[in-house]
Amino acid sequence: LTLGEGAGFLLLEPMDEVLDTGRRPLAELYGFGMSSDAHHMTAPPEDGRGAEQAMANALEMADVNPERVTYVNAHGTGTRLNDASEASAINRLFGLRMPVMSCKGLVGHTLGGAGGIEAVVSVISIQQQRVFENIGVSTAADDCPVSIVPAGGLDLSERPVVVSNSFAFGGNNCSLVFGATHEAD
Amino acid sequence: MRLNIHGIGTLSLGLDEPFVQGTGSLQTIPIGDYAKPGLRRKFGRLATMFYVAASRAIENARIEDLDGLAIVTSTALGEATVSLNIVAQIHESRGKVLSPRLVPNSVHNSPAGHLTIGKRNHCPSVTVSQGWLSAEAGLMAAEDLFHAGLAEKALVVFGDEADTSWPGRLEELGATQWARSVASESFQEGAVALVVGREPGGLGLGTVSAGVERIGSPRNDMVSVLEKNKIKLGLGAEIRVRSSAGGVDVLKGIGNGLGIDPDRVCLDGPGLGSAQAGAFIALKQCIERTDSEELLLLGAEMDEIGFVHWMR
Repeated sequence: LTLGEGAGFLLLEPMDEVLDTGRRPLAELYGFGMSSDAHHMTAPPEDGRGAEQAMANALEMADVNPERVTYVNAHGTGTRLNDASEASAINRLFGLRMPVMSCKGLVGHTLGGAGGIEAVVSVISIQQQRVFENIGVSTAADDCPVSIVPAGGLDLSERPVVVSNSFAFGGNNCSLVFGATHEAD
Repeated sequence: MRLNIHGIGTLSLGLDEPFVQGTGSLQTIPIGDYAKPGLRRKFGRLATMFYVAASRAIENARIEDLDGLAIVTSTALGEATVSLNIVAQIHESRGKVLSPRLVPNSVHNSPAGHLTIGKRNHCPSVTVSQGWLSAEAGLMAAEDLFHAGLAEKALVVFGDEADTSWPGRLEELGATQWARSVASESFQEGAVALVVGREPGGLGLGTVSAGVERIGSPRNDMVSVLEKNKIKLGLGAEIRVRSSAGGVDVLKGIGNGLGIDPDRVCLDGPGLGSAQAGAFIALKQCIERTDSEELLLLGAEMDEIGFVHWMR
C-alpha cells in the first residue's frame, strides 16, 4: 500500500437550480449505493459481495444498466486482498470487458481524500471522454479477472458513464455513478 | 423531517453512572453481555461503548431482524486512545514499531465496522464527525438516508470516550500544552443509540429533528435558528443550551415572542461535560420523563449552532 496525501472536492447542486441559472454542469451524479461487508475489519470477503452490492445499489438508484457503464474507477489499492475481491465483484456485474482504472498508482492511497479525488477524476474522464492509464501496472494479476486500462489510456464513448468505488476499513462500501447531464440530450 | 424514535440505549456518565469532577471515565462497560470474546477483543474503547449502547437500543426497539436497519455512527474525537497509542508507539520506537491493529481501529468509522460485523448487518453505514455538534450531524445523516430512500430505519449511535490517563500520557510524550488543554476540557464519556424510522414507533418515545446552522455569532443568533427552521415551541417547552451562558441570557430575554418561557431555559454547564454528552443525556432524561412534552437542545461551537428538537 502506497500512501499519498491530497483532497478532492465536488460542488453538488440540484440540477433544476443549475439549469435555471443557465449554467452547464460538468457532469451529473446519477446515483450512489452503499453496503456493509459485515465480514472483517481489514479484509474484504473473497468474492467481493459487499462491493458488488454497493455497485448494484448505485446502478439501481441511477437507473443505469451495467451494459451502459463505460469504465470503473476502482478502489484499487494495489493490495492482493482488495484487488482480487473488487475484481471479482466487477467481473460478476460487468463481465471481463469492463475497463478498470485505479488512481492510486498515480497519487497513492489518500485515505479519507481518496473518494473525493477519484470522483474528480471520474468527472474529468466524462468531460474529456478519455481515461488515463493505470500507473505502475501493465497486466492484471491472475486472481483479478478484469481488463485494466492499457498504457496510453483509452478513448471513451461520446456519453461515458463511470462507476467510482471507495471501500473503507470495517467493510463500509460506497459506489458513485457519474455521467453526462441528461439535459444535454 | 421528523424522525420517529423506536428505541433508545445508553452507556454514559450521568445516566448509567454518576458524574465525576474533571475528566470522567465509565467504571464499567458490560460488553460481555452483548459480544463474544472473539469479537470484542478487537474493539477499541469507543467501539466497545458504541456496541453496548447500540445493543441496548436494538433490544429496546424490540427489533429481531436487522435487515433494513442502516447504521450511523457519530463521534467528535473518535477512538482517541487508539490514536494516542499510535503517537506513543511512533515516539517510543522512533517509528520502527507500530501495531497493525491500531491503524484500522484509529479511523472514525471503526466502531461502525465493528457494529456491522458483530450484528451481521449488510445495510448502508455512514460515519460523521462535526466536533461538539456531532450528535446533530448524526441525526441529519439518518435523515439523509431516509430522503435518499436507502433505509426505513436507522440505528444512530453517538458519543465519545474520555480517559483520565490522557493528560499524563501526553506529558510523557512532551506534549505539555496539549496535556493541559485536554485536562481543562473535563470530558465526560458516554454513548447513546437511537433506533429511528420514518414510521411511528409503538413505544411512545416521541419524534426528533436536528440541524446545524452556520451563523455569525452563536450568542446572538440562537433565535434565528428557531426562526429559520420554523420551530414553534409549545407551552412549557424546555430549552437547554450547551456550553453557552451568553446564549441562555439571550433566550431568556426574548420573552414569549417565540413561545419561549424564560423560566424553562437553562444551561447544561460543566457538570454535563462535553457539549455532545450534554445533548444525549438531556434527550434521554426528557424521553423518560413524563412532565415535559417538548425539548429543544441548542449547542454552539465556533460559528455554528446545532439543534435537536424532541417532541412527545
